[in-house]
Amino acid sequence: MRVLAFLAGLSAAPALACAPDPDALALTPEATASLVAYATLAPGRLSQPFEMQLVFCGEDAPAIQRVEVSAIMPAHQHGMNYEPVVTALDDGRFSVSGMVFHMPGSWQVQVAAFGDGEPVFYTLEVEAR
Amino acid sequence: MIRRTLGRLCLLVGLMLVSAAQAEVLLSEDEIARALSHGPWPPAFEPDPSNRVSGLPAAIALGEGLFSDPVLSRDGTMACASCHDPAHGFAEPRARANGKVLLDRNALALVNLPAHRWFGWSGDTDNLWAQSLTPIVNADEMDQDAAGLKQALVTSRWADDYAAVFGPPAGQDADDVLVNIAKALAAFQETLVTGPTSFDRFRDALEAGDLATAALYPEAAQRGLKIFLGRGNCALCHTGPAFTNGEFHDAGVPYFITETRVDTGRHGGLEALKASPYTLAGPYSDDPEQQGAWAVRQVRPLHSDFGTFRVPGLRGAARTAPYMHDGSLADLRAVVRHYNTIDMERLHADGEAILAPLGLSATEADDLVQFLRSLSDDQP
Repeated sequence: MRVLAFLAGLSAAPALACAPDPDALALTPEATASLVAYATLAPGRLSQPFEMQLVFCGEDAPAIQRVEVSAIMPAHQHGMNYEPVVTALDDGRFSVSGMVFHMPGSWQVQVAAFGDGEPVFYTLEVEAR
Repeated sequence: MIRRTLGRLCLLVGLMLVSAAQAEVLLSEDEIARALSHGPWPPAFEPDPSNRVSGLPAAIALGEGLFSDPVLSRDGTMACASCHDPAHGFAEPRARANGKVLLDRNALALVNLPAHRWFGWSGDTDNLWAQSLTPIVNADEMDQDAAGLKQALVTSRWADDYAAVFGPPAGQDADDVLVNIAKALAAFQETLVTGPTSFDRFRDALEAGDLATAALYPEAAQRGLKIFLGRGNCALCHTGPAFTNGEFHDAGVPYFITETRVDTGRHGGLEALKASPYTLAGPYSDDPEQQGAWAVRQVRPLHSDFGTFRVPGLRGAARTAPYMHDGSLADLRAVVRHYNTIDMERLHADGEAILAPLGLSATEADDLVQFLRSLSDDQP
C-alpha cells in the first residue's frame, strides 16, 4: 500500500537551500506567512505508522520552538486515532513519527508552528490508498 | 499451407479466449488496483517479538492442548474452545457467549490474529498473549487466578510439556506461570490462519495479468466485489489483506445491553488497556526493543470511542455466524440488510460520517453476499 501525497498544483518543492528533499511538498499556510514549510512523507501502508519530515524555510525558522501535527479526513469528519510524536531537530527541521492513516481517501495534514509570535497554521492534502 | 492455416486458427482461438476472458473480468483498472490491496494471502509467518515462544513447535503443541482443556478454568468446566469452537471457525453459533453468566458480546473468531494491533471487540489488549490471559482471569468467564492456575497446571497432564518449554513451574512466580500459559496459547492461535480462497486466485491472476484465470471467478462475486470497493463503502474499514483496518467504528448496532446498561466498546477497552500491566510497553513483554509499544503510548482517547467496536476481518467469516459485537445479525444476508437499511438515528451524532443506507437491490445484495462467501471457500 502506498501513501501518495498530492498538493494543489502538485509541484515538487523549489530548490531552496533548506529544502531537505527534492520530493518535499510545500504546505499551504492558513494566511500570509513569512515561513515556507515543506513536508516529506515516507511511504507506508494503510493503518501502519509512518514518519514525516518537516522543514521551515525563512529568517524566522530557527525561532520555531514547537510544532503540533494532526490529520483529519474532512469528508468523514474524523481524525487520526494516534497522537504523533514531534521531535525538533535543528535549523527549523522537525521529525514526526506515529502518523497513521487508517482509512483510504483524502486526508488533510494540519501543522501548527509556534515561535516568538502568533502560531502559524499550515495544511497539506494527502491521498491515502 | 497447413501450418499457416493452423497458425491462423490458433491465433483466432487465442484471441477469442482473451476476448472472452476480458469480457468476464468486470472490474475497472481502478477497481483492480484496489482489489490487489487485499492480498497476497496468506502472509508469511513472523514471530511475535513480545512472545519468546512464538513459533516454537513445543509451545504451539502445548497451547493447542491447553486450548481445549478445561483445566484452565477454576471449576474445571470451561476451556477456550468452549466459546471458540474449532468446528465453527473458532467462534461460536450463540449470539452472546456463555461464561459463568451470559456475556455481553459474541465470541470473536480466533483466526488471522497476527494481522491485528488490538484484540477483542474493544481492543482492551495490544497483544495476543494478553488477550489469551484475559478470559482466564475474568470472573465471568474462566474465573481463575494466578495461584489457582499454577496449582492446576502442576497437577495436570501438561506439567511436563510446560516444563519443557518454560522450565519447571514449581520455582516460578504464579503471575509468570499465568503469562507463560497465555504465551503458549498465543503461539497456538498464531497458527490459525485461513487459506487461499477463490478471491485470492482471482486477485493473484489479476496481478499476474492472467485474465483467463481471473475470469474463472464467478461474475456474481465480481459484481459483489465492485459494490464492496465502491458504493458499499465496505473497503473504507475492511482494508488490506485481512479485510480489516484493525481500528474501531460505529456500525450502527445498538450498544444497550439492557435498558439501563450499555456496552461502552472502545471507550472501556482503552480504559482497561491503560490500566493493564500486560501491554507491549509493560514488564511481561519479551521484546527489549518494545516494538509495537508505540501504539499503547500514542493511542488517542476520543469522545467518539463510546460504543465503537473493532472492525473484524472477513476471511473465514462465512463460517462464524452470527455477526456484530452482540451477535445480533444471524447471517451474512442479515449483515448486508443491516447496512442496506441502516438506521442513521443509531449512529453517533458527532461521529464519523461514513455510513448511509446503501439502497442495494435484492440482486445486488445477493452479489455482495456471494463476494463475502468467496472469502471463506478455502474450506468446504
